[in-house]
Amino acid sequence: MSDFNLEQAIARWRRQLTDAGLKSPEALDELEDHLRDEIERQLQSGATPRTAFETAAARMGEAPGLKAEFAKLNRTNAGRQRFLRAFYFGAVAFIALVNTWTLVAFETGPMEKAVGFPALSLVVLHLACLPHLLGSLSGRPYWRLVKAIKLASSLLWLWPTLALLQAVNLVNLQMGMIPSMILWYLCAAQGLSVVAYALHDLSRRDGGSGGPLPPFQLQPQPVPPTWPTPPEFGISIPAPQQFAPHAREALTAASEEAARLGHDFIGTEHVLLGVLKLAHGAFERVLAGLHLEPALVRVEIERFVPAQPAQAAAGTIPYTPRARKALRLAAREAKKLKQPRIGAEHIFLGLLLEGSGVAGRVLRKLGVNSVTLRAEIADRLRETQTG
Amino acid sequence: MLTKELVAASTEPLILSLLAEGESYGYALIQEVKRRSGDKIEWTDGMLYPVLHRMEREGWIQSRWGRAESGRKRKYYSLKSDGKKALQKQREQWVTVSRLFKRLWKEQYV
Repeated sequence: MSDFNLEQAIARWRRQLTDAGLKSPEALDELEDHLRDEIERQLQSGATPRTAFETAAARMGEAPGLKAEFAKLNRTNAGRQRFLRAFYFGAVAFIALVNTWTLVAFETGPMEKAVGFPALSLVVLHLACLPHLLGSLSGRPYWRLVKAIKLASSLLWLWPTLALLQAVNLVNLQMGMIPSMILWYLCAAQGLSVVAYALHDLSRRDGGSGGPLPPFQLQPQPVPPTWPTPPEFGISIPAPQQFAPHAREALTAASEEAARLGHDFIGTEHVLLGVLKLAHGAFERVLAGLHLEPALVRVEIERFVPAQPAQAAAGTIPYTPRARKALRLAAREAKKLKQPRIGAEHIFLGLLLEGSGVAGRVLRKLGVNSVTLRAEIADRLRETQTG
Repeated sequence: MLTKELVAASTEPLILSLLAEGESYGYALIQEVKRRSGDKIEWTDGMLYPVLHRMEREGWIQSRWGRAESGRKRKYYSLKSDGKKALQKQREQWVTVSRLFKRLWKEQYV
């Protein structure tokens, strides 16, 4: 089992970003600071240094500074593109002109003219359309064709070599003017094709999707919630250990209810549903004493809060401020009744006392009031205590 | 959860509003937005830093290198007066839209 060195891993990560194109030390420092913050957060929730680093790096995903850097690059790319485009079409026009002039000015027979002009037109047309053709040919099935064209055209470079050799009289080739002209066209076409490909590459990178991607591209991993510990809005809820075990389970059930209903918050209604779902023992008797059917309460709640398609909860779901208040009230009531831990019945009371949330309204509508509820809870308590 | 367009449109005014409360840095901004939106808005660093750098270029915010509690170097951003003006303008736009929704949806909770 090799030792994981965090500092080395971070240094490696930084080098990889530099290699991928992000050179600005300020931007790298800022990102590294962000990475270290995330690593610390992971470490605090109990991850090992290696897991913390991997999760943090994966969370950061595509390095942000790179996008900014490429945005700056693209500005110069645009200039280069314009230049290349002008050069390309200028060269095509020049070739067309020169060769037309050759065909016209020189003593060429009608046969040669008949071959020369179409050949010239074809080549010029091909060159003019090449950049556009490249765009439509980028799909996967065509890459073999493209490779074949590239291979064939590189053989063309034999011709200028031969022509050079002929010029220095090392080789003697008897070729008509037209064949040699055609071969020169093809060489020029090859050269310009290279330019066209360069243009195509540049314009693809501008679109953004074609740039080199930095190494860390993994999906961010959601941190699985155990006790639904939502971020603190302002008032904090009582700690898990202050709740009785069944009450804790009820709150976990509450977050499940929220997810099931497709909501991304735990409101008083979900807490009430959770508490009703796991009603047993003392709480069940309290409910019976109040003549409350859990099923009926549930129907009322769902009338208030429309269900949405259930979504997988991404990370922790927070409590609404009202739910928090209800839980704090539950803690207070438990203390008043001198109970060591908050039970489901106290949560129930807290929901009623909070009053303005869905749970409070539903309970009031069903005729529950805090006086009778408190009395009921106290009675049940006395019952269990006296045996 | 939110559409990409909404997240993109709301990033600048959100950053400006948060920085109006005081100086902050990238990571904290992301955590704060996540917290205050009830986990509904999760910015990625890939989204945030280019926007921060762009806003700095526009002259709405300024940055300084400071020290974190851990002693590390950290880049802090703060709002400039031009940024305050930009925030006002963007606020007016959002309020306009939001008021219209309120009127249209007055039957349900907004």
